[in-house]
Amino acid sequence: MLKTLILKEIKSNLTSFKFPVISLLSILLITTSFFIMTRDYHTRVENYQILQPGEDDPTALIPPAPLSILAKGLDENLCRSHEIRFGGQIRVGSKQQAVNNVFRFFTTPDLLFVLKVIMALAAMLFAFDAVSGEKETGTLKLTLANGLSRPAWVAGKWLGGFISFITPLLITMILGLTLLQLSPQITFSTDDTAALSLILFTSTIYLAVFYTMGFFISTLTHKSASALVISLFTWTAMVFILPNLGNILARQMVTLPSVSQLEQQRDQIWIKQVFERIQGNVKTGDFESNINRDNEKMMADYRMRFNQRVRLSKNMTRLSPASALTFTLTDLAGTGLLEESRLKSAVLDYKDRVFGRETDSDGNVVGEIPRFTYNRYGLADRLNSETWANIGILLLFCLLFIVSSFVGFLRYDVR
Amino acid sequence: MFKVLTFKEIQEQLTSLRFVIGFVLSISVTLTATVILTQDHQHQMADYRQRISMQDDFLDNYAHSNRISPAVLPQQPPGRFSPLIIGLSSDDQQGSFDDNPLPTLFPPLDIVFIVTIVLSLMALLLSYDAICGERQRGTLKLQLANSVKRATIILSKWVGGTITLFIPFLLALMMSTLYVVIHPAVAWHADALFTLLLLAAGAMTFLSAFYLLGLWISSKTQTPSVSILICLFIWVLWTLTLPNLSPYMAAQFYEIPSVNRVEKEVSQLMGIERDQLGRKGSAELSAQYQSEHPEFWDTFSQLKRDALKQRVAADAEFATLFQAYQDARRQIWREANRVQGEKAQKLRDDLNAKAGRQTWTAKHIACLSPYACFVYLATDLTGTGMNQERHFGLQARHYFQTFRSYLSQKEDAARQADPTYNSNQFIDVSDRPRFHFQEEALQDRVNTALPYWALLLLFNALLMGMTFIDFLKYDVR
Repeated sequence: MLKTLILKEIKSNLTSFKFPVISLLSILLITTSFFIMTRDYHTRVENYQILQPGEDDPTALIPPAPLSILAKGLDENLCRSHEIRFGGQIRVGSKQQAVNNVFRFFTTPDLLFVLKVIMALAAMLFAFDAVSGEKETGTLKLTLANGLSRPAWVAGKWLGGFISFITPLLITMILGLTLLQLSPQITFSTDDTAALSLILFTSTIYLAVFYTMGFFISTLTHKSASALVISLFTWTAMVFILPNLGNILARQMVTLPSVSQLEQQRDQIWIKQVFERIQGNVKTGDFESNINRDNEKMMADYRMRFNQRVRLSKNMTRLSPASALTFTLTDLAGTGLLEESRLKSAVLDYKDRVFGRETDSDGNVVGEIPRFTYNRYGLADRLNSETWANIGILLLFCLLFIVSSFVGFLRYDVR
Repeated sequence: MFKVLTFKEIQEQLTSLRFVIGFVLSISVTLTATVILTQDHQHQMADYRQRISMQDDFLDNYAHSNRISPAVLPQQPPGRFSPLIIGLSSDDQQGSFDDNPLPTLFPPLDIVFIVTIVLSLMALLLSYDAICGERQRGTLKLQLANSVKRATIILSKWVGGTITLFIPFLLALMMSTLYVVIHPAVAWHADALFTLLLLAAGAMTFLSAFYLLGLWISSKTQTPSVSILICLFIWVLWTLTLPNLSPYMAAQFYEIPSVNRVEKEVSQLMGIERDQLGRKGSAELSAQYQSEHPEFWDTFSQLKRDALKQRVAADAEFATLFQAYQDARRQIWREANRVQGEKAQKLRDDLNAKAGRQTWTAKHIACLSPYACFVYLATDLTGTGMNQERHFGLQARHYFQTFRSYLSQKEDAARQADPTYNSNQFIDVSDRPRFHFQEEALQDRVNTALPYWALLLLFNALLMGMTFIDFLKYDVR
């Protein structure tokens, strides 16, 4: 009977109006996203090749991550050049997008955005009238009048609906990813390929959360119009409001000096030391180590508070499945907060190696400039406890809404 | 009849579930965001004051003309309207090792978001079944059977619906404005309230466009379920897709050179190459003086600063040669700065021109969406957008020119008092001209925002026209 229900649901969805509209939207957006982000990736790779540091150039630079095509995250920040200057100062180059302010107004249209925002909406639109719609058309009471159990009906409805929704999406994504893999200009490592499967898995769970949410809302209402309104506003709250509110609340609870203030302090540190050296108050051999010491002291305090804010923000925004997906996908793609934190530590180590080179008796540096080498996290490291926790949160949401849908439907008045 | 139909429309909408949910959501989110952003503004003001104070303290102890530029950077205060609209933050523009990555992952929540996402969605929800819903219920044919004109029906639906839609928005805006006005941290005068009035007008034009979109789709379809799907499809493309794609599409049409590379080249030109040029010129000058005035050169190169000062005060001929040498040396460095500065400026100009074309293209592609038009209108009107950054840049450049003339006079005075003065010595700049950021005049902000408002009105006119035409042909049976 379950098989029959699933097949009936799939057939009914295939012939409905929403299936071609939502499928067309998915295909259009996913292919456009892949195309645009692949071109963007190629541009960034070209930029990286132009900026490759020379032998005597103490600059830390990493290439863009291939998986940034799917979830760009912080990759633009990660791929900036970090030049180590005198006194251990780290001067960061501007982002390529910095000269076009329109980028700052709008969100990156990567696969993460398409799934997190648009496909989540599509999932809810697919499911909002699953129960209330059948009640309105009168078919629900007829189906249940024929001795069909409610749990079986819900299971068949959910599975059939979700299969109809997710299939064209998965086909498009897999086709897109296969084309990317086959592209000679893009090289995925083994870890990246494995991460791709996890990205697909997590995205499916995420969409299942929203599909089930829409389904659950449908079991709470008796009119499709009401279910639609509640679904749309729930989507707005879950995808936009909760993640951003958590972020700005964390900002209030942990205050940090602005970037402008930090940069001003940095400039004042080196100018002061150079001035003192010229006045003879600081020895030539000491002035660079003084700059380094003062910068480190300033950064140590800032970093501690900054990490506190990031932790708080992450914990507060996790209440939304959209945040859990953002953190998971960006970490799996190597473009998230995890990688960003690791790169910054690596740059600071590099700075210490560059700055701590051998000096002669006059205090002049004589050692060779070391090259900066960096490998992004492997899959094992990307799948740390936080990533599993985020995936767990998504599974929990899904389970919660599935159980709620079952309970809701068991008490549903079908007349 | 028009009045009756309009009131009927308003009454129906006000008692609907969708209005109630939308009303509660928009008011609660707007107020929460305003309270939090006002506190943010307070922190930013404190940060700004601290930066000014740090600058003053630093210059009182370590000011010397050779390295004064980074120490007198003009500081931009937080915008007056940042409690309502975040816009473009100056912190995002700066490349820093310690910049906060979270805003990149989570875009801001402010009144622009409320209007463009929550309320535009609400507009569609109020209008998607305005025509096809009434047709399904059978009330449409009853109305038309009573010789009510089709134009009257559609006009009353539009007016009634948009009035209903404006209620939560205006209420949210008024409550937020009241909170900000009574908050001690924000200084708003009469012109700020006038700006808000214009912003409200822009927002209402934007929301009306989306209401008309829903009305138009409703007059093209027979069932509400089909209507809402098409409305949401267009909403997704217009609001969430086209604006986000626009800068990437523009980047494909107009490639710009590597920004980092240009920065490095400029740094090379104004750093190492300029120093090499200056040192080469200085070495040649030294050699010239050594051969032409050997006695002077021997004395000059051996004396320490204090002894040199005494010699200059005591020996007029020595003082003349010393002055001539210093003037020639300064001229060499000025020339080195000028030559290298021109090369660097050429690189910057080339980058800026190409970036400008790309930005212009991106802006115009995005303007095909009412969402982008409203974002530009709101941010330019409140001084939180691209125009404000340009305005600040112009003021900063002007300030640097003023400061440079002041510094030049200060240095001349210092040399008069002490002919051995050099640019690495402390100079008292406590009486320097201060940078006071002047917000762009309201008239200029309105002029910048007007074209976007005109586009929104155009969207309204087009959608209204299409709705009328389609409703005139609509089968009401």
